[in-house]
Amino acid sequence: MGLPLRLNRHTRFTATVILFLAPTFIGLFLFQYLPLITAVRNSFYHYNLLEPDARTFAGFANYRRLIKEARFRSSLGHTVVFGVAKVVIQTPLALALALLVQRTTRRATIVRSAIFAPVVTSVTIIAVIWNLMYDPEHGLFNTLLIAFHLGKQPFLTSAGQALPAIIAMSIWQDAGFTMLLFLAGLQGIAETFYEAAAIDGANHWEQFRYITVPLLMRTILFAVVTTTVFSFQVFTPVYVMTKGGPLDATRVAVYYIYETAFVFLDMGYASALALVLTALLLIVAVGQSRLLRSRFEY
Amino acid sequence: MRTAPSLDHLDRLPAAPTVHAQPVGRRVISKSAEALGMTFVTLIFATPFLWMLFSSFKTTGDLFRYSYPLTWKTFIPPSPTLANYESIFVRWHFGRNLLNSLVVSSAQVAATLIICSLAAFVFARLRFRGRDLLFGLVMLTALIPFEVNMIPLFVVVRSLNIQDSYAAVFLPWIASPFGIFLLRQSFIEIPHDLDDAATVDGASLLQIFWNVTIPSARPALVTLAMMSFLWSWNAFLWPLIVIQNPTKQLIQVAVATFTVPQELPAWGEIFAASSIATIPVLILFIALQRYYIRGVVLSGVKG
Repeated sequence: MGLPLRLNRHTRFTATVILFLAPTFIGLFLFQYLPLITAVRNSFYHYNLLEPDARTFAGFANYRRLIKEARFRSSLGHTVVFGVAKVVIQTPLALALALLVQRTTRRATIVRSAIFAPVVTSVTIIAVIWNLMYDPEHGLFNTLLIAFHLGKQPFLTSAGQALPAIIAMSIWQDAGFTMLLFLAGLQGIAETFYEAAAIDGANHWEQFRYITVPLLMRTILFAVVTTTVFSFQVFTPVYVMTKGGPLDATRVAVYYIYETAFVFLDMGYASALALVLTALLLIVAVGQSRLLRSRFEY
Repeated sequence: MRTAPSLDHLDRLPAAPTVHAQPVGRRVISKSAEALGMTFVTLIFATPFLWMLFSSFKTTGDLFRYSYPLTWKTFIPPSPTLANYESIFVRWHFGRNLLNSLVVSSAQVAATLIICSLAAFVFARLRFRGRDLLFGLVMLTALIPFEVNMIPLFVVVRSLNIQDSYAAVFLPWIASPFGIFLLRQSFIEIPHDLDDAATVDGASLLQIFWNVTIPSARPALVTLAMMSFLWSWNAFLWPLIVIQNPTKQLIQVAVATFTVPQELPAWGEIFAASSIATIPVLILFIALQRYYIRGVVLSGVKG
């Protein structure tokens, strides 16, 4: 290195630490802390990118506006529906999948790879393909429904079915992710528990109910929190498949923030929306951890 | 939020089965029920991919002609063609998007590995006052959600005058708190004897970092390389915001914008482009899933 040989050990140590950490902290400052501070500041301003010089202090006006705004409330409602449906359906489904494929047999390995595939595929591509699968005229789903003599469905073109259709797709994609968490959790359960229970005459259900579930509680909590966090961030499927429609039925919170910021260029208000969404997410995630922990820790 | 489930025996995933003594008859029934369940599950997860891949070789006419009633022609192309692939590369210049994504993803992986391993080395192997505070400042950024940051980040990138460039797409993500956390976990486990021996031999910290720490942490580096590749390759919202020039656009945004509302749907092209964006990555990740799963379990981050 370019340092003079005579520098003492301590100086060289300090210089190395600074050199090694500098890229990280420059990056984090520029791309994390600075934007965060800017977001907080912007949320107190009327700030439209169309006329960036006309920025005026707004006090809490942006926050008062979002409390009153029905569109924000309804977008938040869609996000909550999305999140609750995901947690409630995906968590038990993923556990069932983990139990199904936890063996090391060849067949289980193939099934596991199939479930794993959507996890590493981009949300974008999956939304694009499912968009075609949901197509009312030529989509795969209606082909199957007709083959089984069930009625054709409008799916994404119906205000009632669009959000459930996106939820179904999202569960299909993410179930494998939660399954991976459960597979790791299942490994942590010692074989001897099951052997002891089997000797005591416990059947499979009882073993599941009184050994697997209680010992997996930490993993279940982790799965619920991660699913919730991802759900609050849902954006891409809506952008690709419905653009928030039909009749605003799929306008989720992040899509609304995106529109406010990059379609209406209303940066001040969008920042306030984003910060409030984050605060709500933090409250929910912390609440979930507390609730599940207090009820199930033993 | 970042407390991971048990990490023991990760490399042996999945665990040994628990087989219990059962009457033979019941066992045969549940065995075949299990086999049926497994086939069903595989079909549910694999069908969209197979439909996508097979349909990409169909002519436009066949795509719509055989969409229903359900026959083998719904899936298998009766007269396979490469026309869709030709169309995306010749008419839509998809090769350009593919190249953009390859460049950006390689750059992001390389830069992430270098920057994160330098920082992780300091946090895992060196002792000095204020170290834990600094590490806390790094990990705190993991809590900042992208939705909050994307708006001012766009402004920052604009004021750095790098919007509409490759750098704007990957630079914001290379100092990754997740990457530093992951590598630190693995660097901590390397025995100190090696460092000590090297120090006695007069090695500098940089030499220890390069000759001792990095070679001992290959699996963790592979994990991080895979995860940062996936973030980069699959990124959508940020490139959508930051890249305006269509010739610089990345693969995911390009595929998504094939679907133009109120226009004649280019299904064949969509299937072909999606297959190219997906299938090679899928094969690679299924082959190396062990490393990826390690990262998932350790962090709860999906990539």
